[in-house]
Amino acid sequence: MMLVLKFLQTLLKALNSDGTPGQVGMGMAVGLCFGLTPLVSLHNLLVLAVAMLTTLSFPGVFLGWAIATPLGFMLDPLFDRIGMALLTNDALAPMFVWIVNTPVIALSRLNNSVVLGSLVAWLVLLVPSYFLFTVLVRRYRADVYAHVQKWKVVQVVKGSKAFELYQSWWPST
Amino acid sequence: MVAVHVRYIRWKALLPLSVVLGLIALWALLFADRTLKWAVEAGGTAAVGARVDVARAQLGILDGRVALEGLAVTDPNAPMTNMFEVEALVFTVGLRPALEKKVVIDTASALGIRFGTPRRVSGAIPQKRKDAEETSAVMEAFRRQVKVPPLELSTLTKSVDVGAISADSLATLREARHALAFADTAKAKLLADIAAADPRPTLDSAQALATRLQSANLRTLGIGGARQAVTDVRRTLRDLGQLDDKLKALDTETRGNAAGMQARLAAIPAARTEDYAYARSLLKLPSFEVPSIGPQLFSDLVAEKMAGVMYWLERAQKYVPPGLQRQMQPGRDRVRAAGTDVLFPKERVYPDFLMRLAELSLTLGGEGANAGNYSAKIVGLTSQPAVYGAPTTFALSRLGGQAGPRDIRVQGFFDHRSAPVRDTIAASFVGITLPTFPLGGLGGAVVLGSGFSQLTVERRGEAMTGRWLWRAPSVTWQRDSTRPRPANARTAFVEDALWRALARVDSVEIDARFGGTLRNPTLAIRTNIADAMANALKEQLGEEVRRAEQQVRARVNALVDEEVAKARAAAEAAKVQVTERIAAERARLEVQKTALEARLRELTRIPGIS
Repeated sequence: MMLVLKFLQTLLKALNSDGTPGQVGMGMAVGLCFGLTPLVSLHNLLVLAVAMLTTLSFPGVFLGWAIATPLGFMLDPLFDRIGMALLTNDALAPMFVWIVNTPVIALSRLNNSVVLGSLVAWLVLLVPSYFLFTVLVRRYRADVYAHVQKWKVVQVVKGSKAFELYQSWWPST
Repeated sequence: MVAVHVRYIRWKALLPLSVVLGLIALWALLFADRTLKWAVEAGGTAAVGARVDVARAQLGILDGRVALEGLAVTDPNAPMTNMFEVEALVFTVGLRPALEKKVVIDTASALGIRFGTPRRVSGAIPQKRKDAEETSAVMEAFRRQVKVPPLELSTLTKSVDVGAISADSLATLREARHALAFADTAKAKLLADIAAADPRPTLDSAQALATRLQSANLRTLGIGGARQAVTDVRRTLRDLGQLDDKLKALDTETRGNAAGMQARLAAIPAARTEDYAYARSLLKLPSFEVPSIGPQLFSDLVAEKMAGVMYWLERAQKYVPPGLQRQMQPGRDRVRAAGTDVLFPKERVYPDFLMRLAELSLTLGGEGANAGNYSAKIVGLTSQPAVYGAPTTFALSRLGGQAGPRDIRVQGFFDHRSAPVRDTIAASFVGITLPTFPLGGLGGAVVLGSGFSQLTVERRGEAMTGRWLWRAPSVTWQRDSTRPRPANARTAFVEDALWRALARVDSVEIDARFGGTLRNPTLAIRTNIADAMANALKEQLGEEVRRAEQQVRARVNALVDEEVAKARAAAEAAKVQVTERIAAERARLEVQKTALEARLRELTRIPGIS
């Protein structure tokens, strides 16, 4: 329960005040990678490093990850087709020969259709999703946040003992 | 104007990132052994098609030393048995290839290898549908095509039911009907051609001219009339010549059709022989032919044993494909979709898997048949032979032992560098305990005991040839006492006679030779048991089988004779009718031609007429 509340608080904090809408939007766009592509992949280590070392919103990354995880499972057949199309393209063969025969890079498993297809799909979606998420965060902060605070469910959660207990341990900013 | 300082780098995150990376490295170190164990089990299971278990795995990351303990590889054809077990296997792997996700083993050594050990739990795995279908299709096709029904004695004593022979299934009838149809068509066409040529107007006109000129002379015709008569005669002779050419062509065509007809009629006896064999097979009469007895007795067991060899040949072709073309393999199983791994083989790089050299000195303990010392050597075992650039060679030999075989030698090579792939295996076993062969249809088995066995398999692309030989100097015969004796006294008597004949055979040789292709194999089995059985069968059943065969022949003859006679008669009638018609027309033509030529000679004697 505490973990769920913490997670919700992190997400709401990200949407409300943690950085500019652009930072949150970029965080979410980057976080999509963890959900869309197979998690245990070498490229995700690189994305994690980028997410930690740059000033994009880290809670935004988690939000993007949470959004993309179910999508990733649903879109696997599509990623498989994209990946196969690229892997069987003769013009790209020299690049893949280099990838699978280069130390460390070969560990990225980019010769797997789902890994490659999902990674390419994420890269294509990165910039559009950044703009989309930035607009959505801006809209949320301007129009939705105040409205959400009035929701009964939010008030019930805020008035609950668990929330009080949680606040006493991890007070929100 | 206020300068806005925008920060893009979060330097303070360097420490947490380092901690995260450190934790990942620590995890890799702590769980490297478990990961290795999982990788060997998963990879081995995929390659073998049955469970591969490892009791313990150790990975020395810095020195590349890998040690596996308790490696058990399930026999895919017998999931409760291990194909082999290895107590300890130690090898060194290259670190640089490992960074390319490749396994390159420089040297390997193994201790405590045992073959055919029992398993506590089944090693069968749920096969991926397509994979299972492809492999089982090859094995099933092999079994289906090489197995023949076992020897059947009981049919002999039953009354032969020739009514089971259906006329529609007989090739002779089909041939006879084709011949009949051919004769009718040829006759109709030729008569139509003769009618189209219509010789009568030309012949009638020639006859009329000959009659008109019969008593004509210079006085009655005058010089002009005589010249005109000569012209008319010459023109008519030309017409007759053309008509004669047409009739000759029709005559030639008739002879050609007659030859075609004869060829069709000549095919009938062969079809009849085929029908005798077909009808005989319907009645399951036992054959006294030595080559057919071997498969009846042993094709079941040999097919099962050879299907195992076929399984590995098919597997080798699938997982060790030739050439440098892109190769597709199913991705490894995970929560997300597995996808497809596309391999890009390239010359002069590391293959995905390579064991350069494995020199194995094996000591099998105990007092079992396999106990003893063995020496094995495998060179260049790889999953991408075209990348490695050399064939895989292997050899195993028995150095000695207190019990069991006196000598075992296995050697061969797999050359999958380019298509067609070439595989050669030669194995010989001296003094091993040979298998017990059930005797198909006889309710018993021959226990071969100790003896010699030799297996050779050669494959080039789809084509293969091979031989599996078993030679036993002292066999024992086991008649199944629990099997009920045949109810029919005659069958029981014959069976007893066969067993008495077999009991006199001390040494046995079973020689199974196979050929063809993986998907269309052939199997021939020769054995001295077949000689003994053929003689005994001839002695006991010769007369009865001959009688049954006569009945079969009589039935086939009864079904086909009428149609065959019709076909022959139609062919003869067509030939006679057409030939006579042409001959009559040509005779008439000849008479007119002779008469006109005589008149022409007379007319051209007149001065001034040429």
